Amino acid sequence: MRLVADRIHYAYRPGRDVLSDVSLTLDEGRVLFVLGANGSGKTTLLDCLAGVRTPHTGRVTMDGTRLSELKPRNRAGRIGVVPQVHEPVFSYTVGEAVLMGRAPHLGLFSHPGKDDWAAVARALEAVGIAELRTRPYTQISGGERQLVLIARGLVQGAGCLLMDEPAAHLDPHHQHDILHVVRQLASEGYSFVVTSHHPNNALLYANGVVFLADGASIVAGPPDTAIDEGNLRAAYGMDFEIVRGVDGARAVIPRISPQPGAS
Amino acid sequence: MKRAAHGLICLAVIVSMQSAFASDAIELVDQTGATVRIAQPIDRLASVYGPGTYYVYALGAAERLVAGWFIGMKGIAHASAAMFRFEPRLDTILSFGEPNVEEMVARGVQLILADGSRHAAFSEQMTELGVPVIQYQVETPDALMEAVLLTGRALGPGPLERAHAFVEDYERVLAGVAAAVEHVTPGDRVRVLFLGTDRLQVTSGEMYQTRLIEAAGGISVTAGLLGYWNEVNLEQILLWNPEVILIPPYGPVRPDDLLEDPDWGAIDAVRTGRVHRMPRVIAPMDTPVPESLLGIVWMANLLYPNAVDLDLAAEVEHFYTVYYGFELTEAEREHLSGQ
Amino acid sequence: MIPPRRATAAILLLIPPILFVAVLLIGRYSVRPDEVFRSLFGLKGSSEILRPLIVRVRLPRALAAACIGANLSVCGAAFQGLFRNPLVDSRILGVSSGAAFGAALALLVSGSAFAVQGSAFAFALLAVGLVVGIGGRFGSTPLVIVIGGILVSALFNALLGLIKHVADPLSHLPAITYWLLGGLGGIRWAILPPLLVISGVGLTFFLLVRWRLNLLTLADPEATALGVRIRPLRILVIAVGTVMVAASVATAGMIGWVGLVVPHVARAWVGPDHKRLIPASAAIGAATLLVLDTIARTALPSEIPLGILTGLIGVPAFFFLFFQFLRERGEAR
Repeated sequence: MRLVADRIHYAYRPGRDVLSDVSLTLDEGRVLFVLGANGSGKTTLLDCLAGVRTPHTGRVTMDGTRLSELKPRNRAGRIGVVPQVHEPVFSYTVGEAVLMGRAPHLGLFSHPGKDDWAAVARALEAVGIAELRTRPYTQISGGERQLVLIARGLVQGAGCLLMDEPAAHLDPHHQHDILHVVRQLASEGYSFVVTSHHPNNALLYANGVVFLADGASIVAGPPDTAIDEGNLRAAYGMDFEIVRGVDGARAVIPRISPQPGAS
Repeated sequence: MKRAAHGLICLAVIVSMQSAFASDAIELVDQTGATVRIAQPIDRLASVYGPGTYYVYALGAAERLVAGWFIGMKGIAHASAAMFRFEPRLDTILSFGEPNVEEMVARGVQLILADGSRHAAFSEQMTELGVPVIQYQVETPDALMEAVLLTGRALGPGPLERAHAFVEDYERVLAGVAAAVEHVTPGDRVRVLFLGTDRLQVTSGEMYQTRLIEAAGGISVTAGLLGYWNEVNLEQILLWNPEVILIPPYGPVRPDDLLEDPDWGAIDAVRTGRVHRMPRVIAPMDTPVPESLLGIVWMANLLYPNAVDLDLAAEVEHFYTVYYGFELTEAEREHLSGQ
Repeated sequence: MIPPRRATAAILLLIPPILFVAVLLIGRYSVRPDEVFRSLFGLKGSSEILRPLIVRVRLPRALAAACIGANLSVCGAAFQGLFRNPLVDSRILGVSSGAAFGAALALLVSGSAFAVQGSAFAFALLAVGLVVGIGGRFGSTPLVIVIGGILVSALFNALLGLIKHVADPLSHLPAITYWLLGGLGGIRWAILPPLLVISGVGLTFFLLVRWRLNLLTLADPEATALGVRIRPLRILVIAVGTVMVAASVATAGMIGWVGLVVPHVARAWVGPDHKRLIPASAAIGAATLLVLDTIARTALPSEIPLGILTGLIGVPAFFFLFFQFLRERGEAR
C-alpha cells in the first residue's frame, strides 16, 4: 500500500490556489500528521487524497494508479475517510452507523447481510467499543463517536484512513484514547493521514509530519527533525519554544511575552 | 396621496349632500335589514349581484344599466348569441370579478344592487361615498318576490307596476302548480337530486333549488344538508337513491355522462332514464332570477308526467314577451318548453 | 434500535390488509359483512346494489387510500433523510404547488376528471423539474434544492392565486377550493390505473434501495468517500418520489401532514434505519389513510375533505411527536 500525492494544485476559484505544489508519500503502517494554521488547506488536501476532489494539476496515486481512474467503490475500498465529529440529525445506532461503511461492497438494490454485520462486530472490537453497538449514535460522547467513525473506515476495508482533526473538541485523555487506537491499528498495518492543530500530538504519535503554510508544503519529514522552531514560526506566524521532558520527550509551547504586571 | 384623499372626501360630501337635499328621495329597508335612502329618479345604476341584473331587465329598466354582472359570465367570450340579442350593449356593460369602488364612481352610478352575503364591505364603501346600495338575500320564492318589489320601488312608478305584475304572475304559477300536484299523495312524491357543476356536487337544503323542487311537488333528497354546494360521494347518492336527477344548465355535466356510467347504473333515476338538464336561453332558471317561475313549471311537468300537464309553452311565451321583451326563436321556444 | 423484531414486523405487515378488508364493510349504506362477501364473489343472495357499491365505490377508494398513504409516507421518510431535515415532506420540492396550479387550471377550462388528474400530474412534475434544473446549476446540494423548492412553490402559488382570482365564484372557485382540501370522493376505477402502476413501481423501488437511503443522510463528501455516487442517487430518489407524490396529489388533491407525521411515528417505532423505516412508513401510511378516508366518507352525508381530517389529526400528533423528539435530544424538558 502506497498513497502518493505528487506536486498537486487545487483551487476553488481560478487563480486562487488553495493547494500549490504539495507532495507527500504514505507507506503501510505509517501515521502521517498534516500540521498548519487555520485555512492553510489541510481539509482540501485530505479531500484530494480521498478522491472526493480531483487536483487540477499533479496527481494522487494509490499503488501507482491515479485515484480518478479508480471506480468510486474500488477507491472507497482502499481509502477511508474519518470526518470531524458532527451532530447527526437521525439517531442511528452505533452498529447501523458503522454498517454504512459497507456501502462500497453492496450494490444499489442489495442490503447488508450476516457477513456485513460480522465485519461491524470485528471493527467495533478493534477500536474497543463493542459494547456500544446498540446505543444510539446521538447518545454517546464525542470521543466515542470518533471511534465509531474509525470503525466505519475499517469495515469499508480500507487500508488507509484519512482523519480530519480527530482531536478537535476532545480533552487530553480522550485525545490520547483516539490516537492510541490509531497507533495500535498502524502497528497492524493500517496507515493514517491525520490533520491536526496540535504539534505535540505529532511529536507523540506521528511517524512523519507535513507542514502546510498557505497551501504549500514547507517541509516534510520525521517529527523529530521537521518540528523545529523555524518551521513552527513559518507555519503559525508566531514564536514557539521546544522543551524537553525528563524522559527525553519533546514538547512545543508557545512563546508569549510576559503580561505587563503579571509577576 | 393626501390631496387625493381630500378630493375623495369632498366628492363624497357633495354627492351625499345632493342626495340628502333631493326633494323626492325614497327610503326602503333592504334584505339585510339596512335602511337605504335613494334619491329619485335613478338614471344610472349598476348591479353587481348576478340575479339582480335580471330584475332590472324584467322591470323594463335595462337602458339605465351602466354595469351589470351576469350569472356565469366572466367576460364577453362566455356570452351566447342569444345574450347579444337580449342586450345589444352587452360588451359595454358586462362586468365580472370583484366590483371596484372607483370604477363605480367613474361610471356615475346612482344606485347599486348587491349581494347581501358577499358585498358587505363594498356596500359600506359605496354608501360612504353617497351611492345607495340595495343588498339582496334571495334563497326562497318569497324573498325573490320581495327583491323584485324592492327593485321596482327604487326604480320608480313604471318598474314598480311591472314588479307588482310579476309578483302576481309568480303567485299565480305557484298556486297553479300547487293545485296540480295537490292530489299526489305524500308517498308518491318524487325524490329529486339536484346536482351542481360536478356529478358529486349537490345542493343544500338552504338553497333556492330546494325551494323550487318543493314548489313543484317534489322532495329534495339533499334537503337535510346545510350551507351552500355540498360535495358527496357515490355511496351516499346510492343511499338516497333519487328517482329523478336534475342537472343545472351551467357546468360540464350532461345526462348522458350519468346514463352511460355503469357506476351510476344502480340508481333509480339512471335506471329509468330520468336524468335531465335544465334548459336555458337567458338566465339559468334554477337560480333566484325572474324566470325561475318557469323552472317550477318545467319541474312539475317533468316530475309528474302522468298527473301534471301545465302549459309550459304558454308560460314561456308570456314571460319572455311581457318581462324581457325578448323574441324567442322557434328553436329556443322548443328548447325551453321541453319538446 | 434492536435488529428486526419479528412481532413489530408482523404487526406492521398485517395491519394494512386487515384494515383494507374492514373498511370495505363500512359505509353510509350499511351492509352486513356476510352480504359483502356474497356480493364480492357473486354468490347467491347478493343484492343488486351491493355489488356495484362495494366493487365500484368502496374498493377503488380503499385501493387509492392505501396507495396514496403509502406513497406520501414513504416519500416523506425518504425526503426527510435526503434533506437531512426531519421537518420536510414531499411538498418541499414544489410538487403540491405545481399540482394545485395544474388542477385549478384544468378545473377552470375543462372540469373533466381526466383533465384535472393529467394537468395536476404534469404541473407537479414541471415544478420539481424546475427545482432540480435550478439545483443542477448550483451543485444539487440539499440547501440549493430546498431554496429552489421554496421559490418554485411561491411562483405556482401566485399563479394559483391568479386562477382563483379570475375563477367564477359560483362554480369554479368552490370546485378549486374543494380540490385543494383533498379527498377521494371522485375516485372511480377509470382514473385509478396510473396511480396503481406508479405506486407499485415506486414502492418497489424504495423497498429495493431502502438501505442505501441511509447513505443520503451523510454529508456529501462523506458519502462520496464511501464510494457512493451521491448526486445520481439523490436525483433518482427525488425523481421516483416526485412521480409517486404527483400521482397521489393528482388523484386525491392536497392531503397534507401524512408525509410529515407518519415517518416520525415510524421512526419512533422502528428507529431511523431506512431498512425498517421504509416498510414501516408504507404500512402506517396506508393504514392511516384507510382509516381517515373511511371517516371522510361515512361520518356525514356530505364528504369531509380529507385534507381537513389529516390536519385535525396530524397537527396534534405532530405537536406531541416533535416535542418528544426535542426532549430526546435534550432541547426541551
